[in-house]
This record gives sequence, C-alpha cells and structure tokens, in this order.
Amino acid sequence: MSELFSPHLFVGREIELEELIVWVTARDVFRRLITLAAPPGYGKSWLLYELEKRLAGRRDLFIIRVPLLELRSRAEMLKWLLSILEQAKHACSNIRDAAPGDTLESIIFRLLEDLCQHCGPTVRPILIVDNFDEVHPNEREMLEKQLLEQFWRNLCVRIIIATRDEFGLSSFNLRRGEERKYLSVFKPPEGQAQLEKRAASTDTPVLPPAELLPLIRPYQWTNPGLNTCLYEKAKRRRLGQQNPLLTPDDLKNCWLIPIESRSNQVSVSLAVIESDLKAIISEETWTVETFAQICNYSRSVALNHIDSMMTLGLLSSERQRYKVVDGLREIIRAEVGLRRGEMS
Amino acid sequence: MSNPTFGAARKTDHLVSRTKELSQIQKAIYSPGAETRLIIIEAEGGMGKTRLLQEVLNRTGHPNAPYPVQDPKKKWGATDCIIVTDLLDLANVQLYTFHHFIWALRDAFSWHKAAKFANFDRARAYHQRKLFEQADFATIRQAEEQAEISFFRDYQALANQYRLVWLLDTAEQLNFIGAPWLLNEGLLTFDDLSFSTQQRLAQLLAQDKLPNTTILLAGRPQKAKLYFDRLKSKENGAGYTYQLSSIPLENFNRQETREYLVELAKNWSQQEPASQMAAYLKLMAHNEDQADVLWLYTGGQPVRLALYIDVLAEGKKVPEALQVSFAEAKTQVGWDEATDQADKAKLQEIQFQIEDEFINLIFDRAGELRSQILRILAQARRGLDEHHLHFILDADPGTKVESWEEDPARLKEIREELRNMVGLSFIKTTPAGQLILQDEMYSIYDKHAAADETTRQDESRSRQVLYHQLLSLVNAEIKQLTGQIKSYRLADERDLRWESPAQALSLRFGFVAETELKTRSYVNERLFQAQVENLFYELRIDPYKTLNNTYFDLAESRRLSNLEGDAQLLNELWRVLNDELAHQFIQLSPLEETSEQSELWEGLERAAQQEEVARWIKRFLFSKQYHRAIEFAEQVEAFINTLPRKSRGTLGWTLGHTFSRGERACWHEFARITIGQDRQNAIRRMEETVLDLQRLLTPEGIPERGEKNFLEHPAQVRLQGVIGTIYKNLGLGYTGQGQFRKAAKAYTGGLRYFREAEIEGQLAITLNNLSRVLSELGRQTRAVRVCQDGLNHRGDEAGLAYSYNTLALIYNKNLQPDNAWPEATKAVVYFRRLEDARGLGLALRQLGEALRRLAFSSHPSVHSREELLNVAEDATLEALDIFTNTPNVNAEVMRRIEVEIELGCLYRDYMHYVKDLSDSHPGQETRWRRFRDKALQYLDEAVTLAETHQYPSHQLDAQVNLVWTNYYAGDANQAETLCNQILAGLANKPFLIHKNQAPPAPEKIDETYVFFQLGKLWGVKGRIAFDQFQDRIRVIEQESSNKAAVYEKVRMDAEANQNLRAAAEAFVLSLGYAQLFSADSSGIGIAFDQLYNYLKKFNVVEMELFYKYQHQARQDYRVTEIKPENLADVEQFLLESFGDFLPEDVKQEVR
Repeated sequence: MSELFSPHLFVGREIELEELIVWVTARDVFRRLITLAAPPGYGKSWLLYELEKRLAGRRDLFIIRVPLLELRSRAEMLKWLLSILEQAKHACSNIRDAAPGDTLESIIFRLLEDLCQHCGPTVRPILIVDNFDEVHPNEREMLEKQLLEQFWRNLCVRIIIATRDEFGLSSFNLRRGEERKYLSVFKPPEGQAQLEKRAASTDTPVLPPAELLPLIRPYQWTNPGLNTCLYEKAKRRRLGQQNPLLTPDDLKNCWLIPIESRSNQVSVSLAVIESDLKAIISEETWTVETFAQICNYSRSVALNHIDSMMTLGLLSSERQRYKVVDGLREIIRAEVGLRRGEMS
Repeated sequence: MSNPTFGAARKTDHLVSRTKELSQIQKAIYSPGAETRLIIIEAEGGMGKTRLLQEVLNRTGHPNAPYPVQDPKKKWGATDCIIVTDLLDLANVQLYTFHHFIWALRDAFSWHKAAKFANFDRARAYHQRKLFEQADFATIRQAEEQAEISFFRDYQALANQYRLVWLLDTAEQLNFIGAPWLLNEGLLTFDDLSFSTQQRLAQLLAQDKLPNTTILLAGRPQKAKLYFDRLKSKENGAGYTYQLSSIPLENFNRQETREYLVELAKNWSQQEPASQMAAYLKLMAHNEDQADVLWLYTGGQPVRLALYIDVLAEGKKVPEALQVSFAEAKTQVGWDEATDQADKAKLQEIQFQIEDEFINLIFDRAGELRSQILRILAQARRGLDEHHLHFILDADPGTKVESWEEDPARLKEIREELRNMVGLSFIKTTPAGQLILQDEMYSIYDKHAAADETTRQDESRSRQVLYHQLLSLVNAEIKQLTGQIKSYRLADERDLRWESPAQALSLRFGFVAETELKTRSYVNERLFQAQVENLFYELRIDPYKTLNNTYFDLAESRRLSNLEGDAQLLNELWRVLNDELAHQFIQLSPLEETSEQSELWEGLERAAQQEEVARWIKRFLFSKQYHRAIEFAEQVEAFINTLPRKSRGTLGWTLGHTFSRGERACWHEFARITIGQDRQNAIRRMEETVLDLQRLLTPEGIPERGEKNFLEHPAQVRLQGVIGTIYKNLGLGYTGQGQFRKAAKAYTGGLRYFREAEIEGQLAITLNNLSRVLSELGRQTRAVRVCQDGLNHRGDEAGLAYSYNTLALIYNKNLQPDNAWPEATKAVVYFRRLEDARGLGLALRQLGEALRRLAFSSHPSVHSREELLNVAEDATLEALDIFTNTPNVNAEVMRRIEVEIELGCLYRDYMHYVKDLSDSHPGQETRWRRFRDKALQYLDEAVTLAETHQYPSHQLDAQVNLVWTNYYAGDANQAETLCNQILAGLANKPFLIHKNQAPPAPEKIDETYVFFQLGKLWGVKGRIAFDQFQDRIRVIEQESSNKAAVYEKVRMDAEANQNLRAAAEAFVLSLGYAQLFSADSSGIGIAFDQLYNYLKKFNVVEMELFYKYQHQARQDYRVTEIKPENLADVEQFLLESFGDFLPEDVKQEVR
C-alpha cells in the first residue's frame, strides 16, 4: 500500500464506510455487487483500504483483495487462487486443498462452498477489486468471466469494485446484480481536516495547513489525492526553505503525473489534453459545440478529445453537457491563475 | 465492451411471429381469381410494418429480399405466376403525385424480365424531356396523361399473365397535405387533387382498373385514418370491386418477446459466435423472467425492445428497473390483473428512465463514429450521406464549403459505418439510400433532449449549428448546379445556327442525346431537391421567416409546371408544423412581448393555412384553369365570411385579416383580368386592396379593424411581395385598358416592393412588363434598358424567352426589325422547346411583325421580299391558331386581337407590295385583291373582338389600320369615311387638338395610345388630301401647257387649295399628335418621310401654298404650344424607370 493512502491518515467518508460495513455484514442484501465509481484521486482506493482495516479481525468475513494487474492469464489466476486458499485456511480449518489438475472454476467453487457452508461458523467472502479501470478492456472481460463471475455464482459472496465512472461491466450476471455508488469530492472542511491530520502526523509540524489553504484559490482542497500530493510538495519546499510553497508546475504535476501511466489508453497526448482543459476551464459545464468552438476543433476532433478525457476520468457527462471533474477543475483554474500572476 | 455500439439492436434475420398475418397475405397473393385485393396493414411506428413487407419479399423469392428465406417450408408457392414489386416507400414525397408514383411502380417491377412496359418507357422519356425543358403546364400535363395511358396499357398486358403485387409502405403519406378544412368544407374537390397519388389510387380501385393485383398498403392508422377510412368504406367512386381486408399489427406478446430474444441471440451466435454480445444475448434469451420484464416495459413494441436490449447489454449500468423480477416489475408499473394493463403514468416514467440510459450511451461514447453519426441523424431529421457527415464531423469551424477538401479514406470509413448501421432496428433507409431513424427513435431522442431546460437549450443550439452547416453545404450545391444549368443553356444558344431571317421559323436548338438529357434532367431534379433541403433546414432555423421568404419564393418559382414539386414544398412545411416534439428546439422570435412559443406555432400554422388558400388560387391560375380559380376564390371567400372573427389567434381572424384577404384578392382579380372578366371592377378592387395593404406597412396599421402594422414582422417581406404583385397585376389591367401611363406607374410601384423584399422572380417579370409599357409610351431606349435588366434577373428558360419576346416587341415598336427578328426567333426557339403555347404565340406574333417590317426595310437581307412576307405569314397564322384553338390559352382574347391586327397589317402590306408590282408584273390583280380582303377581314374581326371585350387601345389600333388598308387598296373614300367615324367617336375627348384651343398637356393624358393612333390617322388623311391635290393638279396641267398659266391656275383653284390646305392641316395635326405621344416617336419620322416624298415633287407655287397653309394650320391649332414630355428630364426618367422614391419634403417643395 502506498504511504499516500495510509489508513492512519484517513479522514471523512464516514457515511460511505458505514453503508459499506452494513452492506458487507448484512444477512441479506438487494445487490451483491457494489461498484464504487469516481474520478481518479477521489479516494476510492483509500476508502477500500480503510474499509479493509475496519473489517479486519472479523472472523465471519474473509476479505479477498484481487490484485488485478497480476492476473493476466489463467496460470497467474491459478497461482493467486492457491495463495488465497492458503490464507483461507487461517480463517477456517475446513478448507479443502486443491488437487493437481483442478480447474480454476472448481477451486473457486469448492473454496466458496467451504467458506459459506462448511466452516463453522460460516465465513462470508468479500472480494475487493480495486483499480478495475487500469486493466485493458479485453483483460477486463476475461477477468469478469473467468474469475469474478465464478465468485459471483455463490450467493454468499459480495464484491466491491472500484473504478472510474467511465467503465461499465460486460458480464450479463454481474451487470444484473450491480449497484453503482458514486463518490463525490470532499467538502472543504474535510479537505482541511485531511491536511491537518497529515500535518499532525509528523513530530514537528513544518507546514501548518492554515498557511497553505489560501495559496491556490479557487481550489478548496476537496480532492483527497491532490491534497496529499500538494501538501507533500509544499512540505518539501518548506523544508528546503524554498519559495513559493507551491508553483504552477506543482499543481499541474499533481493531476497529470498520476494519469501518465494510463495515457496509452487514449489517442490524444497528455499535452493536448492539458491544453484542452485549460481552454475550456472557464466554463462550468459545456457542450461539444462550445468546446469545438473554443478550441477551434472540428466536431469529430472535439468528440475524440472529450472521449479521451472521459476515459482518463477527467470529465464527467450529464446528458449532453460535459464538465471537468470537481476538484480538478478548480486546481487547473488555480494553476492558470498562478501562471498569470507569474507573468504579471 | 468491444462490441460495435448499439449492436444489440440489430435486426433479426428471421421474422418473429406474425404467422397469422403472413398467412392472410399469402392468400391474398396466391388465391385463384383475377380480382383486385387490397390489404391494409395498420400499426403505429416501430411495430414492424416494414419488416412484414420485407418478409413478403423474402418468402416470394424476390431478388432484392433483405433476408432470403433458406427454409423451403417458409417459401411461398410458385413464383412464375406473380410479380412482386420492390418495396415502395411513400415517405418519398415525390410519390405524392401520381405520375411519379407510376414511374416508381414501373421501376419497382423492372427486376422481372417480363415487366417490359415498353410503351410507357417511351412516353416517360418524352415527358421527362418536357419536364426538363420546364415546358408549360398544359404540355406537361398532356405528356403525363399520355404516359399514364401507356402505363395502364402495359400494365393490363402484364396483369393478363401474372398477379401483380404492390408493396407500399408509409401509407400515411397519402393523406391530404395541408389545411383539412379546404377538403372537408368541399372547397376543394377530389378532381382538384387528381394529380395526387391518393386520389388516383382510390379512383383506380373504384373503377376496377387494377385487375389481378394485390396491394399491400402499410401505414399508421391514426395518421392515415382519413385515407384508410375512405378505402375501407369504398366511398371513392362508383365501383365496389376490390376485396378489402385489414391487418392490424399487434405488439409482441410475452411468448413472442421471448422468441424475439432467442432469435436475436441466434443471429449473433451464427454471425459472431465468439463475441461477448452473442454470449450475453444467449444468457438474456434464456432468462424468461428478464424477457417478461422487457415485454412489460416495452409493451412488446419491437423498436423499443431493441433499444432496451441495447441498454441491458451496453449501458454503463443496467437501470434499476431492468434489474427486478417480473413480479416486482409488475408492482412497479402498477399492473392491474383485472384489466391486464399497466398504470400508464408509472410505465411512462420507467420507460423514460430506461431510455435515458440509451440516450446517455450516445454521449458517453463520444469518440465512437457510430455514436457521432447517430446523434447527427437524430438532430438532422433528414437522410444524410457520407459527404454530409464528413463535412459536419471533420470540417474545422468556419470552413467554407468551397475550400473544403474531402479525405477519401475518411469518406470510406464513414460509408462503411453507415453500411453497418443499416442493420440496426431503429435505422431506416430512405428511398434515396440515405439513413434516417425510426420515427419512434426521433420521438425518444427529442423527449430526452428536452428533459430539462438546460438540456433543451443545449440541444436547440446544437441543432442550429448543425442546420447552418448543412445549409452551407446545400447552398454550395445549389450554386454549383445553377451554374451547371446555365452553362447548358449558354451552350445551346451558342450552337444555334443563324442563317437568313427567312429561315427563322426553322431554327431549332441542337439535338440533345439521351444520355446528355438524362444528365441534365438529373441536374435539374437534384437542384430542386437541394432547394427542398435548403427549405427543410431553413424552416428549422427560422420557420416564420422561411414561410414568408424561401417557401414563398420557391413556390413562386416552381409554379409553372411542377405540381409535385409544389406538393413537396407543402409537405416539408407541414412536416415542421406537425412535428410538435421538434418545436421544442426551434426558437420562434416573439412577434409581441407576450407571445408564448405555443401561440407562435399556432400562429405559424394559421399563416400557413392563409398562404395555402392563396396558393390554391395560384395553382389553378398557373395551370390555366382561370374559371376554376375564380370559382374557388369566391367559394373560399364566402366560407371565410361565415367564420367568426372575434379575436386574434383564431383562424377566422387570420383568414379575415386585411393581409389575407388582400393576398387572395391579388390572384382572384388577376384571374379575372387575364380572361377579361369584369375587368373594370377587378382593377378597382385591386386599387382598393393595395391601398389597404399599404396601411399595414405604416406605424398606425389599420386601427379600425384592430390590425397592427407589419413593420419588423416576419411576414413583412411577404406582404411587400403581395403588394408588389398587386401593382404588377394592376399594370396588366391598365395595359389592357390602354392606360399605359398608369400601367407604368403601377409597375414601378411593384418594382419598389420587389426590390426591397428581394423577390427576384417577380422583379424580372415586372421589369419585363414595364419595358413593354415604356415602349407603348414611346420611350424606346428606356424600354430596351429596362427589358435587358429584367433579362439579367431571369433564371429559367421560360422567363428568358419572355424577355427575348419583349425585346422583339420593343424593337418592332421602334421600327428596328433587324434587331427584332433575332430576339423573336430566340423566343420562338425556346418556347418551342418548352412547348409553351402561350409564349410561342406571343413570340410568333413578334417574329411575324419583325419579318414584315424587315421585308420593307432598306436592307431586308434576302433575295425577295416575298420570301420574308411568306415566313411572316406562317408565323402569324400559327400564332393565331394558338390563341384561337389552344384550350385555356384561347381564354386570353386580348392576345388573339393583337395577332388579328398583325395579320391584317401583314396582308395590307402584302397587298400594297403586290399592287406596286402590278405595274411591272401584269396579272397581280387577283392576288392583291385577295390580300386586301384578308386584311380587311382580320382587321374587322379585331375591331369587333376589341369592342366586345372592351380593349379600347386595340380597337383604335385595328380601326386605324383599317383606314390605312382602305387607303392602300385605293379606296380613299372609304378610308376617309372610316377616319371621320373614328374622329366622331372620339369627339369631346380631352386628348384632341382643337382649332384655336390650347393643345392638350400630354402628361395629363393617360390614353397615350390615342396620340400615337391619331398621328397615324392624320397621316393617312394628309396623304388622301395630297393625292386629291395631285389629281387636281394633273387636271389643271392637262388644261394648259403654259407653266406660268398653270402656276396661276393652281394659285387660284379653289379645289386644289382646299386639298392642299387639308393636307397641310392633316400633317400638322399628325405631327402634333406624334409629338404629344413622344418626342422620340417613330411616327414623326414616318410623317416627315411621307411629307418629303410629296413635297420634293412640288414646284415653287405649290411650295409656297403649302408653306402658307401649314403656317396657318400651326397657328390655328396652336401646335407650337405643344409641350412634348422632356425625355431628357432626370426626374421623369427616375419615375418611369424606378418609381416614386421622392422624399415627402421634396414633394411638398414641388407642390
């Protein structure tokens, strides 16, 4: 786990956590699959770690975190499943071993049967699938079909998938059982609380959040991921006695660098995307026509750029209006403002 | 998912269910017997009517079957006894007119080798040529009738061997387009609609004209109700011959819905077995509970089913409503087990949620070409092809179409995507092969695009951007096509082989090969379709403005010969008016601050109805049904008078509005003037109307009627057009009365409005008419200038030909036959190609006059004058035949009189010529007498006709020519008698020059033609007097050989002096009248020529005497006081060329 998402620095999301814990532990639920959907940096992973932390120690639950990026073939899945089998034995002694030649499906079937029926008391498996959007679409389909659906078949299993809003599931069964929950950005006080907790976590606080908060208006410290990144950068500058504490480049890098790894998923370069976002940022919400006009793009180019930005989770859409996701919109405005200030 | 977007909505290869319906159809096709069988397939949109018709193609083994049947059990009987047409979609508005319909029907049979239709094909080619040449209505109608006769002859022959099966889709298009009350109130009759497919089809069925035929007619029951009811009740004529049955298509039931899912899954498994979609659909198909939920929400409506399946398979998430069990779903929709019905409101709410997910798919998949195309199609509401889409998608903002370069690779990509989309359930293909959406899809898209105010406004703006882009494309095409048509015309004119004027009548345009003709026809048709497209988008940008401008202009310019074109325009207008969902995205500019959008749309509809009434009068007029135009106008007026006219916002108010009444009066009275019926009153009514209408363009409006002004109103331009047209029609009325000065004023009044409103077509016609009147006023240079300006505004061949004809007329009036004959010849050549009888008659008359005058000019350009006179005779006789015997054309009596006068003049001149010859060529007596008799006959006839129909200028013209004829025939007494009769008839008129009285002021006299004719009349009187003087001199000379004695005798001879005094007086008066007519009058030159010819032979005494008498006459008649109009006066020139633009303060100053 990244230090950035350290559970001891976790703040907020109490309602969401409460709902998830109730859902995980309830005897019967309406939907057995929850998709947590939110743009990058909103704290999906952090929330899942926190959930895992809060559920730790419960003997009626068996948390299975699915390391998506390591499961690119059936062999890798099998290997991982055997390791899960070993972990499960700690939760329940009735777990049967896999025999040579067992298929993936039969191992999962038996594991779930053992956990849900043969253990005493029974144990409910909870599958946590994070960063679902980072997997290539074809691999996602395979994972859904060969792994997630196999778990899904047993009625005692519950699955939580975290993904950007852009993505939908393809499996007929999973789609029919899905409930989608959307995470919003922090309220400003939550963001402030996050900074304060982070500042307090060091022995000698070098950077009081109050000093930081007004620096990059209109950003109101609502994006947990950006908050962490910005605070750490500012802290380093303070330690190095550099000024200013945050530069426009810091602001840019905090949202741009985390998506660099996914730039191969889109047809437009990140430099162009950055330029598009800056061009449209003065609008709260906008249509493709407005975007095309402002950027002087043809309709198809405008739509392709929008599509790329949506794939990267930088835009959301409601009917025919698009908007830069909350938090990101303000940080880009702040960056533009800082650059103007530098120029003047 | 890696599947193509919206892939789940693919059409199924096999038809689901519909077994009973297919069996019924099969019987109607294969049962023995030769009777006509009509099956009406009724269902609302998206229920599978088209799919059922396609299944008929499949099962009958049609070569164009979209899903050929493999299973032999499903194939229907023998195919050697039936011929099934291709599927004909009546959504193609061209099929609204019957002649287009039978063309399409013939083509729909053409796949079968036995369907030859050889007679029809020939007749059709001829008709097409006429259409291309924009021939006059009568010719086109005749060609059309001949084509139709040929069609049914061929059809009967084919039906003797085969049962002929018609597949007609979208039958609701057969409903009457336009204001229904015109039909309901009996103001229009079915005969008036005889050009329409709806009327003719009903007639054919009633008259048992379709033996051994099965017609499958599919349409929406609500929209096609009137027509279906008419066919069902068989109230369409005397016959009750056809067998009728009806197939109401029901929605799928639960079982059929499951079958549909299974079929869809099977299709995917067969075509793309490895796809995720195939697996997904397979699971869905076997989940009966899920199928039942789908059935419940979609009501089993096929197109909705396809959409919902797509949402299930591809939506970002499955909507809550679709995740529930059937039992839960029933609860959600408030299912009532007793009635087996859902609560409508609850069901609609759930449907909206699910469909919202589908619409979101379009926007979520912004980068996918299919999504992009789908949204453009949903917004455009018209078929588009890859070229349109390429421009819309890929042109940078502000790109001009002229500088746009297509990328072949991208075009190919779009074309392939379009091809793939054809298979989707909610996509339809237009008859032109372009893609459109199912009506239900448009409706769903519109509802969601207006889900909230922001979305509605966004959609509205987005559509405006799109329509402007499409407009720029179509306008560029119009420009290019117009240029192409012009180049054809110029090439044709360039290729004319000009030889001697004696060959004028045999001049023809070069032969146009069939392939070239087809290309030209295509270009012509494409131009019209582009104009319709332009109208379509303009109506969606600014309907009020478009109704009053583009729609009005297009209708005007297409009026002469293209009824189906006109029907198409009407259809486009009513499509917008009836498309209430689309209204949400069209922002109408408020006419008043309080106007609600819905009120504005209602107002627009009333405005369209108002226009339609006037349009029907025009339709009758331009199809030369003058009496029907008058009858219809009177009946409509009577009906409108019964409507309450209490308040704004009612039809009674709109139709009773001064503007509305004025527009109808404009054409109603024009019909009367054209046929000379109650002309005085028609003119008076138009004079009153125009004054009324002009008040609507003042800030006050017409307060006593509660009518506000039209300043800044969208209909202002149309009102200006109507006022201009009334002025133009008044000009025609005054011309008939011989009141040319008034006519010129009316025409310039019209010009002012046409210029301001930029109505090119009417501007050109008015300039042309004005030039003719200027010529009658003796302003020859001015006339030529104005006429050529009008020529430059002409766009169509008929218009050009009329301008050439007028130029010839002006040159003839100005005694310039060498200029006149080529113009007249061009007009003849064009009118012959156009087969425009009226135009041809006019042009032949001008050609006749030009050749007659050329024959007696100093350089006739031919070996023998007789050669020209003979051709002139041929031309003029042909003109007379046209204006006497051509139905409808002969209703214009004034034209016949003009030709009779010209014929009289021709024979008079011929007689004169032959008589001169008789000195050197004996034996000509009989010839010249024959010519004399003919001349007298035609001129007498002209006088009688003109008197009967009250054309005073024509009457005087014919009378004066009679005088000349008698004079040339040597009957001076008769000539003198006639002269005196004419003068007696004109006694006490203000335009006469009296002894010892001040001469009339020419500018105060409206009947300027009288001056011209009196000039001619006094000219002949002068010649008679001179002749008598010369006769007397000869007697005196015989009495004495002494020169001095003769001189003295002449000086003292009372008779000689009396004759010479009379001659001097006559020439003084002749020239006085010529001056009064115009300082530029050709009569002045002619009089001086004649005078010179006499005087040059005079001796000193005779000269002295003549000088004395002319001096006396000048003093007696005070001709030196004549003040001819100053043709060099700028203000006069301005008033006559452009009209009265003098500012009010300047007018005050002048006063």
